[in-house]
Amino acid sequence: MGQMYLLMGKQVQSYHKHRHMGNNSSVPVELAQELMESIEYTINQVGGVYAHRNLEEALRLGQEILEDKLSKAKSMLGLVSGTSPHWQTEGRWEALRYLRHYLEQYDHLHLAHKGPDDLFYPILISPPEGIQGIDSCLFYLKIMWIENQIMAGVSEAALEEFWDRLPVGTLNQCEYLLINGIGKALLGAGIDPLVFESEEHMQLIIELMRTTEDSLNDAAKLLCQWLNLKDENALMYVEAVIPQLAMWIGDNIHNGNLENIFL
Amino acid sequence: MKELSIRQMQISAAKDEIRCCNELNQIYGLTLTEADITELVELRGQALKSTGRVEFGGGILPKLIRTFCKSPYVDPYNYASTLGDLQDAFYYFKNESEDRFSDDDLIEFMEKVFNGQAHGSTEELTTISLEELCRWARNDFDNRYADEEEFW
Repeated sequence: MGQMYLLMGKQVQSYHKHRHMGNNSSVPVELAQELMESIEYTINQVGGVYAHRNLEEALRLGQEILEDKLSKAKSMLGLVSGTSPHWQTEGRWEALRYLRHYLEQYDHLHLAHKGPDDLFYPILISPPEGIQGIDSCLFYLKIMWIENQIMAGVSEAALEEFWDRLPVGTLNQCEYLLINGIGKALLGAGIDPLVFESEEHMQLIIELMRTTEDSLNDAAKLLCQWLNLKDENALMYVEAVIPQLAMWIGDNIHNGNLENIFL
Repeated sequence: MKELSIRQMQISAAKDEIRCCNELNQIYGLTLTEADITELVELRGQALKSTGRVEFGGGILPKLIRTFCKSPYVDPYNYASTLGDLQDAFYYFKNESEDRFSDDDLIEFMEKVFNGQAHGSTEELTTISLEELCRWARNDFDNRYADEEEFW
């Protein structure tokens, strides 16, 4: 307890020095709580407070790990930005811009637990519970990298045609892309073009009448082959769309209106 | 040996630092008794609580003592109570300024106003706004100059 108190004192001084705010012996309670959370998060990188006798040393080791993660996240951002398709929604561009800004501002020494909390980019897999700080940013970048791999499996022309049909305000186009892809796989029609013609909608309604969740899973596997996805995480991401898709199909199959689901 | 709680550590550290200042301030004829020290440290806890702040180390009192012991308005009779009031004012202004001033800058402002426009009145000091504090501290030189002109 004493060690943590002394460590907090040093962190408070370091925080103010870092922000060129001169010497400050006291801080608002809210900031003290943030600094404490940051210390805990950083030390958790190296096994947590109970795994160390010297907490200052543990904090330093944790900070080294965070520096590595920060560097990795910056590389990943470069990779994701560089491989993103030309045809992507403004929401996706905005998410990448937000993550760049986050990484530029990330203070791994004092507010390491702060993640990209204001990022508004819906993804198919929820972030693990309790994920914080740079780990949260890395999680989003990994998902966006998977999405890039998915979109790279579709030809540029097919992607452009599909992009034109996306509902206004769509943030994440990948969900619609996977739904269309699974629909195409159910018909065994291939993903070029990715969009549905009217007669295909009719065929799909007939196909969906006898579709079970197992056949949706099989279609997802076939889609993965077409997209040339080998990464296990990518397969998981494709399969993650199935529960949502099954629900939408269930809600709409009886009125025969699937055009808002399969674009 | 039983480990001290954080609160006990804070109190102990704060008292030790004030005692050190006591030795230095004897040249100004100013001394704090043990009872004064205990009361000031308790007041510090209350001031921090009421302003929603947390402090690490010995606190701001030693700096206030080192600065204000030289004030012509501080004497052995009002020394402890003045320090208590200044401590309250310090945390109040710290919050008001949203930590934009460092401890040293804020104390310098307070000293200028306390020894200038406020004429040693902590009541005057504690009732002004942060804006006034800054303005008064900045105008300190001009006002003294104006007073001198009037005097001559």
